[in-house]
Amino acid sequence: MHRRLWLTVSMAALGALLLVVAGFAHAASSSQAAKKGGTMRLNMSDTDLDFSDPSLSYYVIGWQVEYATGLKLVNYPDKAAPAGARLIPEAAVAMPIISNNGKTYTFTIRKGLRFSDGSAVTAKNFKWAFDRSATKAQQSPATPFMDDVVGYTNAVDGGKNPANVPGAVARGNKFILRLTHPDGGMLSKLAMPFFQAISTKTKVDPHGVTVYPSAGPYYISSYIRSRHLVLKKNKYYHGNRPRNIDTFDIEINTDVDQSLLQVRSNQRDYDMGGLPPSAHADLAKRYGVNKGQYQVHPLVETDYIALNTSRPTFSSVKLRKAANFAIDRPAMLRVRGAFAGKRTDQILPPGMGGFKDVKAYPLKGADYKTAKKLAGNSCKSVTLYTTTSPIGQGIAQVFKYNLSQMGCDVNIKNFVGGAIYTAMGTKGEPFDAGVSGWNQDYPDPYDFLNILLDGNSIHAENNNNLAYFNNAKVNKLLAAANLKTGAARYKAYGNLDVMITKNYAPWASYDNRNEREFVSKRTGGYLFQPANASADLNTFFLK
Amino acid sequence: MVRYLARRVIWAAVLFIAVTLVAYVLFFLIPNDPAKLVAGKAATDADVKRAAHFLGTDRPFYVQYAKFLDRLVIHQNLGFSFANRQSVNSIVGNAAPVTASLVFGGAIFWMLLALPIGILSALRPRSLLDRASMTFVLIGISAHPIWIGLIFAYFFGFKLGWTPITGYCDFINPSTDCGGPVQWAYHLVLPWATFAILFAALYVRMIRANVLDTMNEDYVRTARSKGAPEHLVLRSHILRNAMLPVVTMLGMDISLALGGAVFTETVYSLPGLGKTAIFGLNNNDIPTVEGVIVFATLAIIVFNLVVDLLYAWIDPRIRLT
Repeated sequence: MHRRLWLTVSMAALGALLLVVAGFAHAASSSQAAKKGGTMRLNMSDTDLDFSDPSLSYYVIGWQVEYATGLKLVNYPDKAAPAGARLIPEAAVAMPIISNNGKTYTFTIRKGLRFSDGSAVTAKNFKWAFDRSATKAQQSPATPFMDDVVGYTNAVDGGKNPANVPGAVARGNKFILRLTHPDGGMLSKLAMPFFQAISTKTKVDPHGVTVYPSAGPYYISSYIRSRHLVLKKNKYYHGNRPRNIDTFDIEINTDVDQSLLQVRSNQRDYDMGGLPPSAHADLAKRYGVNKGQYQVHPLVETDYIALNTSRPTFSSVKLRKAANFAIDRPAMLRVRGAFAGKRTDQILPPGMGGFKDVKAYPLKGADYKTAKKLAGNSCKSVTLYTTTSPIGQGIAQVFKYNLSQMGCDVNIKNFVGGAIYTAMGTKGEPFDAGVSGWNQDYPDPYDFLNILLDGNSIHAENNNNLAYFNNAKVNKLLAAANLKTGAARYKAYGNLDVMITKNYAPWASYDNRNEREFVSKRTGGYLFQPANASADLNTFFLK
Repeated sequence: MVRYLARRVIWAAVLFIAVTLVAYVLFFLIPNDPAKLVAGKAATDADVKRAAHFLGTDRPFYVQYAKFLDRLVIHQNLGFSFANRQSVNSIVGNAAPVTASLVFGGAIFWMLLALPIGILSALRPRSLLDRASMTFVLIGISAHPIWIGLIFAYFFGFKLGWTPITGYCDFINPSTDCGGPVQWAYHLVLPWATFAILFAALYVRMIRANVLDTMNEDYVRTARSKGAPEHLVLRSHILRNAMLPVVTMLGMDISLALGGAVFTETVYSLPGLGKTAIFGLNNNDIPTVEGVIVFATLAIIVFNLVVDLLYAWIDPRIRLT
């Protein structure tokens, strides 16, 4: 009896010890055990925040900062996947009461919340976030996400400064949002930093404010564009989100190669801008993968070749399927370097709600036999648009070789940077295929399937539907899926992903990318926030 | 003199319009739309059109260019960045001192290297020193500043820890914790060395050739035959004449480099004009790139004028007409 007890106690102790060791071995460690205090010195290589202004900031790196500084009605918790991708109430006491057939959301705002200048957070601050983003002079990129809110688009077009969005109402400690029709993705949209609590002292500014009071765990204490950014703890924050480091001192627009040397020599702790593409194999060899300093985490992203269904070649479903059998996904992934991601043949990435893993096309290499059988002699000339970047060039060469095996003659046309999207986004542009990719704006399948494949959204210019896929049945199903919520919504979108991939093949998807990060030796740990697809600054701690 | 200055100012204006116009046209030839960047990737067609109106890019290019000239000439305003909506005056104003720090410090570095090496190798042609200096010239001209920068940073910054690997500190009014003359110079030692190597190599070659040529001039032979001491011949007769083209080149090189020492700034993360221009190009940010171009053009015009005036002052044979 005693022996069994001792054995049990010993095994429990050993298990606890292993857990602690594992916790420290993996940089993505629990913030509960995290040491508090200190200054972390970060770099932001080859980039800057697009804006620090909450109504204007739109790109991943800006949102990484906004996640640390903002207080939202609902937010993603500082947890690893899958919990970190599920919304929970933050400034609201609970999830909203949704009534009127899904068209009215009522949030009750918590008491005691404060901005970094000590002023109280009220429902008016959420109303102000809507009004500010809808003010024409502010020219916020938030506008495409809120066209379902009553009067939002009219407020933008009206040009009143500041705007007053009638569908966003502050009444006492209640914030009420009224929609023109139900939108199952609305809560995910509300978790975007645009709609965080904004102090009414933060006026409309077309150039964007740089330093302002914020109500999250941190606030921006100074920001000099292209030079330097400092985040400090918000002393008025009394919420339950973690915040370990006192100050983040961030050098901006550093060089990625030199930055790696700085992190290796502990002069800096982490580069928010990423790593040199050639460094990954060496870093993995030196430090191991997910064993401490070098971390690899999946992004919610899909890279694909858009097959232009509006042009003669790929208007044929058979030929689009043939292309999906012909492409060599492992070779395409290798172009991105070591630990770059996972192969895929689907539209939705694995981290997205509703994703169902199906084997529609070969993932281990090209299947030229099936491709040739499907293509017959119908494939002639294919014009492929790609970028001049080394990766764009590499992917194009693999695609050219792969399609030549099924009888296509691929002509490559190169574009510098974002010019490819301007070209491919213009209806009638003479391309048959284009190298592209999409990273989530918010973790909802709408942001992939409706934004990228709804035929009703095709215009003369500025299209996101780069395959120009327009199928009445699919359009209808996409609209219906967006009306659903919860599990039913995910199920509907998951089925649509499989159906579009298998039956229509408007894309030849080839990979879901990873985020690869490297931290200094003095970094104790951090969590990778799956919804933001970046390291969670709140959870960093020093050894 | 007045006529000369007036002519130079008119030419400067023509040059200025030509350069800025070409830059504008080039941007419009690239099929890229900054409004799409401003409106965001999920924007609808209407959102992008609204953003284009906000930026003013929905107008024909000649209207945009005329507005740019109007803003610049009448209001001395370079406009606002498309990428981050900041005043381009302040973007260029913040970046210019960084580039100036690099370029003027680098120029002192390269002249300190090039003058003694160039003169000594000319005085002792085909000696060991001459051959060693020519090897230095060959390496300096052949090696790319990015490569030199990476090697310097790796050995002196990372391996030996003698210097910072990268970064910049302000000389005065530091915008960060790091600042002051000592930190400023400490952070710029490697960039100066990297920037100076290419120019030092070019100048060694030029000084050597000029000194060798001048040494064979009749007036040098006459001075020697009159019994003038060698140091006097070297200083007053050889160097004074041999340095004239060097002064011209120095003025032109400094003015060109002020437009942005792109490679050195990139490799050492110096927030100067070169890095600003690259950032602007990557974001299709016409106002920022035009701002850097305007600054560079003005620097070239002003420095060339100063060099011409200085040249006339140094060499009394030259008259400005």
